[in-house]
Amino acid sequence: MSYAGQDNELQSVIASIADQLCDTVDNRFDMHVTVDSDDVQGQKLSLLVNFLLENVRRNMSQLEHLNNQLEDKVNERTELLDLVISGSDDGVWIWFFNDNRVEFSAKWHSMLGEAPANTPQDLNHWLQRVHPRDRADLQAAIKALLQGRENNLTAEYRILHASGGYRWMLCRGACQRNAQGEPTLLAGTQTDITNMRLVDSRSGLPNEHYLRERIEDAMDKDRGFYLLLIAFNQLDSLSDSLDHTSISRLQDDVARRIVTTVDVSSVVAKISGNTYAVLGHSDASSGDLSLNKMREESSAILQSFEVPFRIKSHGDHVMNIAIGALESSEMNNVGAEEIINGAWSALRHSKKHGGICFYDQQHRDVSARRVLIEQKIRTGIRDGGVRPWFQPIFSGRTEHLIGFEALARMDCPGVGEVSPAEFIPVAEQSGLMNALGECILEQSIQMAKQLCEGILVGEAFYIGVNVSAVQLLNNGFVERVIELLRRHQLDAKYLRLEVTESVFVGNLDKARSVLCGLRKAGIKIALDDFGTGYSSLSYLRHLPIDVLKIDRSFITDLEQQDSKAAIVKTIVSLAALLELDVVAEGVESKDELTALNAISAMSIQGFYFSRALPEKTLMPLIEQNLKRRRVVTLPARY
Amino acid sequence: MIGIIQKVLIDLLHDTGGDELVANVLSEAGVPVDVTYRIDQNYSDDEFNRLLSASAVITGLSVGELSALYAKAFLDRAKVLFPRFFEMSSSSEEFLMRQATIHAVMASGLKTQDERKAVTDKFSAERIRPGFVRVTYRSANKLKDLYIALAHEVAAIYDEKIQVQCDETGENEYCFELKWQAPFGLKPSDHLADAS
Ligand code: HEM
Repeated sequence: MSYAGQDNELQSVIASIADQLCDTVDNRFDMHVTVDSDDVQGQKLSLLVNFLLENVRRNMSQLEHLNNQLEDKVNERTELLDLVISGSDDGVWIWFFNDNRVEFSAKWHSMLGEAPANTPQDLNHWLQRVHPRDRADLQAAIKALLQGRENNLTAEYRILHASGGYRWMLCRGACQRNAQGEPTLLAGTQTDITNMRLVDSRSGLPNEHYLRERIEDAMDKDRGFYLLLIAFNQLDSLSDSLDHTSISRLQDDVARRIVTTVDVSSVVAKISGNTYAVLGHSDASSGDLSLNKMREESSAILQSFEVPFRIKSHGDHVMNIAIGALESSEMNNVGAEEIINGAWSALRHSKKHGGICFYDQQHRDVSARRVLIEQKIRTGIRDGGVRPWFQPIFSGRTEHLIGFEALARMDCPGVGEVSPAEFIPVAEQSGLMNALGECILEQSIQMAKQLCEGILVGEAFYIGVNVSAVQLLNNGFVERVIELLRRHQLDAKYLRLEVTESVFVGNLDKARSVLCGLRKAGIKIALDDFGTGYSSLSYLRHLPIDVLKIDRSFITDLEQQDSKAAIVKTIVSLAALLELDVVAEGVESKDELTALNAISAMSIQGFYFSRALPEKTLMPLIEQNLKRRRVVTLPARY
Repeated sequence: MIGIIQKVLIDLLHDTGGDELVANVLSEAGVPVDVTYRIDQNYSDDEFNRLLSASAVITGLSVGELSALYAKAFLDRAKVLFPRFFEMSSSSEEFLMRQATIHAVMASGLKTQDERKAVTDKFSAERIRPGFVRVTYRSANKLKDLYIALAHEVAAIYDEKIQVQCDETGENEYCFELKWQAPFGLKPSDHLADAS
């Protein structure tokens, strides 16, 4: 064969192979290329092309196999997910960003009492149903997720049910993003948490949350209403003596009696272990009629509880109840929280005096004053309106000044005089005890520093500062006290911390370790109001203290009452045994002082010598005492 | 059996004894004189076996001697037809590891899946460690002598030497253990891998 002939043959081989390969444009690779040529190179080409095709086929079938496997897996997963979702009672939603379409599962719709939609919805379908008070929060949560500030969406909101009421939902979701980090899809679930949120699980009655919503509803709709809070204090003590079944049966009976006594349209809720609430609506717009209905209903409740309850194996029991009642027209322009607080305040009053207490002008004044005092404490802590006064403490026999107790006082321009007896409970209830205590402590340390470098230079003295249990048990207390001493460069011997026995109740170990830490730093610890609390005398030995302050109740008139004198004697001899110093509190007369001096040498605090004084009147007293000391030099114990 | 095998044999006979030898062998084997063999087509295994025995009878060579001659002629032809297969492999070990795949390429020329599978099922190679390859050969043709001859010939092409041990591991099944004498291009890491 000539070269030209060979070339022609090869050309036709190539053309034939190429023609056969054209079928691959249809993605068809299941062919076998043949050449009708004796030329071995042509045969070789067809062979390798066939090898190539076979590899393509093999890879494609492998790919198909993998695809099928993947599809099977996806189907399996989808089925599983469907199963989980249908079993979990949650609605599912998926929001596609490309066309702003939201798909809701059938369950999602049925949770709202609506039929499943056949067409995709937009986000408004959802948002418009969300309660106006909750909508902004939900939108903010979605926004935070979309902007990547949060990784997950969690929001609770009320959503309108087809029946016209609202149901509480918990919505959880997550975001899918593309390679650029832009959100492409948001998906999640919606769980109905109405019962969890609004129902007291023990009694099955609505809880305080629900009550608040109903009050808000009534206020939004400008409807008059009244609120009764009913407390059963005996329930607590009965819980200690009755078994679990009897107490829960009793609670059920109590609830049933309230429910059956009040108007059917009233809401009965349980708002704490022993307190129930009744929210009634007045049909008439007139406040007077509503007031009458409230009075009638509360009297009916009071009466119904005169009938005793039968408690198995305990016989009949009449439950004492206290009712605090509030009519909505008594409080204008306030929120549901204030309404409930107002009713509480009436209830507190009725607990003291029994029966029913109606919230009125007087309560309003008391509440207003409380709020004002709380504000004053807050600002006072910051700007010095809260400051310590100092009550001098003397050696009983030498009458030398030996120390002071710092006592919190408040300047309250515009509020009138506010005694510690009034503002300390407010501080306690508003969680301000810690801040208040620290503020007094720091100012007392400053005062001690000023005294030991000034008028009392070279003299032994101390300032005792009260520390509340909250303050003492607050983490890092020891370190903070040490830091304050360091900052003001005051020797620890000038500071005494006074605690009451209550700090040990329930926290014995922690309190002990904190006090040991303070003593290690050289600070003496005094046990305040001793004798009024829980500790027995023998128990004292286990407490890390240095000083006993005998409560005023043992001191008052002790010269006339042998029993009191005997108790004080015992305390003093025990203190001597345990090497504790003794301070007698509340000494108000010469006779009391003489009687105490006769028992033993001890320190004396009380009006007989001096009340608590502000800094400027304290100085002359100190000066005077120092002068006397220089004239009369009696052998002093201190 | 794919036509290249027979084609090389006929050409070898032709080169040695001209048309006459070819005609004698073909008639001894009962194969038509005008036969042509293509590298992309299948012919009966039995036909090749008859050709091989006839060649031995007519030339008076033993199967071993014939195989050695054939092996050289076959690889010479393979080098011309498929030079890339040799260039791709930098050592005889690499080439012999690739042999089973080369056969699969050759099988691709066949039309039916069964035919192709018959070829690809014959060989599988496994590298036990550097310098040690195990090959399994399954075929009713029992051409183990041909295999051994071809293996030695491949080593010679790369200027290397190998030991081939053949065990009959079943009916129509053989196991070849191919070992290269050191040095066979080991890297230090290969030693380590082997030691562990
Ligand atoms: C480029 C190199 C090679 C090519 C193109 C090649 C090609 C082929 C082809 C097409 C067949 C026929 C297969 C069938 O139809 O069943 C075959 C058979 C065979 N080849 Fe190779 N081969 C090559 C190298 C080798 C080498 C290096 C060895 C041994 C070390 C080998 C050993 C064999 C044996 C033993 C058979 C006979 C198999 C049987 O039918 O039992 N070949 N070869």
